[in-house]
Amino acid sequence: MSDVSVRAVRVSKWYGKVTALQEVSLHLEPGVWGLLGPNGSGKTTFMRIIAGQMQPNLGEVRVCGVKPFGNVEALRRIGLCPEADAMYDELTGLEFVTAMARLSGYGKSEASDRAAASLSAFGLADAQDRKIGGYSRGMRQRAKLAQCVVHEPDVLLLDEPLTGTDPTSRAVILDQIRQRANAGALVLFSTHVLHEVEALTDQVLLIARGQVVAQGRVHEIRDLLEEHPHHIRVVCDRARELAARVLMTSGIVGVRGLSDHTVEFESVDPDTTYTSIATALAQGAFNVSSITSPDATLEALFHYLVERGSRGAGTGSDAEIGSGMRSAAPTSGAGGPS
Amino acid sequence: MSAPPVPSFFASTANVFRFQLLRIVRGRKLRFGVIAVLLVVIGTAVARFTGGAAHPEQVFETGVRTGFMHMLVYLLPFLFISGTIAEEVESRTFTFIALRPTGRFALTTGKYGAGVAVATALITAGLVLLFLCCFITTPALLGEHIKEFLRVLLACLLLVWAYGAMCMMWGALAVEAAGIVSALYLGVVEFAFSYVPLLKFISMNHYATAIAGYHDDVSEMLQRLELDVPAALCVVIIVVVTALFYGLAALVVSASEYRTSKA
Repeated sequence: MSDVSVRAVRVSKWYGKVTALQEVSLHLEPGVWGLLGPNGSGKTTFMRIIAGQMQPNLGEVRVCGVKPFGNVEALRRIGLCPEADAMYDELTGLEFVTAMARLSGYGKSEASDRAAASLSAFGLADAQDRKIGGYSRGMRQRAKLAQCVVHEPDVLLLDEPLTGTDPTSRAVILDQIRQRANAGALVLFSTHVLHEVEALTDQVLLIARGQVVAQGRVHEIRDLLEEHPHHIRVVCDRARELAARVLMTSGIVGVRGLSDHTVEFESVDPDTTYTSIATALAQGAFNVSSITSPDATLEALFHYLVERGSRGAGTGSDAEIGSGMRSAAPTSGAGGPS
Repeated sequence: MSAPPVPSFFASTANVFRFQLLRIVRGRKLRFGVIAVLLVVIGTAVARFTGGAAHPEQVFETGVRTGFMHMLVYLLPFLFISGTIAEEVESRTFTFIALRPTGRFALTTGKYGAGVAVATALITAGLVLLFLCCFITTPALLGEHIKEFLRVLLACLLLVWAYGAMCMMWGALAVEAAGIVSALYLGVVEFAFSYVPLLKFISMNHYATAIAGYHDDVSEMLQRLELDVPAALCVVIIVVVTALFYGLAALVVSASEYRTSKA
């Protein structure tokens, strides 16, 4: 069996006339990867293909070097936490996770021990003998995660794992994900809660309309978007004066005063603009509180890319955008974490 | 990371069997099954001890044919097997087991085995109770009719296994309508056809009746259409049909991309 990896080559999947995935190509190596995309973008379909639950109509997926559909060697190394809130309500948490461990190939006592340890790791030690039907949403989510990791998979696929969890549970879950990744697992983590991905990893896959619109590290992806004006927000004592000093710098395409103390520059040449701002601040002896870029947050990036993908959908420009982003992906960390 | 080696087919099947058995034991269906069996046995016992003129042999045959061969052998496999795949797919729990390195053939076998095991246990227990109810007051008849009892038991169990395979196949093939399709198939092909000349030869119930040693009263004209199939051949036919349906079910489950979550 080869090393831990997920490789997709021009994967397409459609349901009747609806295209769920369109020529998705990527290569993931160990580490945490955030999978982001709006509803119906193809995230779950992509995860199900990787998990061996369905086959692509076109293209090929390999998990740890082998095709996953109907392949027990691949399934042995995959753990999936499905999004659906579906459980065996008539069983206790321990019975459920033990059964999953036994199905994975462990003997009776080892399966039971591993199940107990797994439930304990997700904070369910006290509730392991209660029926799952009586669990809260967050507890059910953690039980699903416990079954997902009980066989120590190399590839963890977590579909919206934080849904319905309280802050304490989230902290436990995120900590477990980090531990698994540090132990050498590949974790693909899908969520709508963008800041949680940012807190966990900066390696992201952005998927929209069945296409990977961006892949890599957040700041590197940001650098790829050269045509998208970069926003630089400065909070200082004489915002208007600063704006006047920097306005004529090359690359500035807009200036917006957000308040008496806050000004936001829009630039297509961020490096020059940052230099100009720094020079102006030094020369004018401004009292600076902060210099930030709202674009550096994942949320801004996500909305921008999805919006751009939607604008060009079904046109030649769409293909151009998609191919352009994908071709840039290997340089943006697609080959694995540093 | 150190996932365990892939379990063997037999180990996987045994694990799925145990898991499915646990689910059946914990679920409501087992209670329905037990109640259904008890109602048949109690109904027959009431007929035996209140119908003064009736012979125990007649009561036993009526109880077996009406309660078991025309009711319980349909109901129990339907109850325990028709939804074994379909319900998991519909409730979206199928992902959990399909993701394990068990192989889908082992999954199908384990699930079928668990459903059939429970149905077999209930049918056997019910028939033993029925037999005792009918003959307990005349111990001499008890020994005399033991062969008939064993023939009836074999016939009913063969039907349970065959109908279980049919329910499994239709449940795997028509997930959204597993119950309706299974019920229609059993009701039309297996039950109704067993009364229709010529068509009865595609009903396993007809062969099982022959194995049990029972005969239908038919008119002289229809007797010409009757075909005397030896009991041994009847056993072979039911076993082959069971294997055929089971094989189809395993193929369907193995090749299916079941809907287990939204796209």
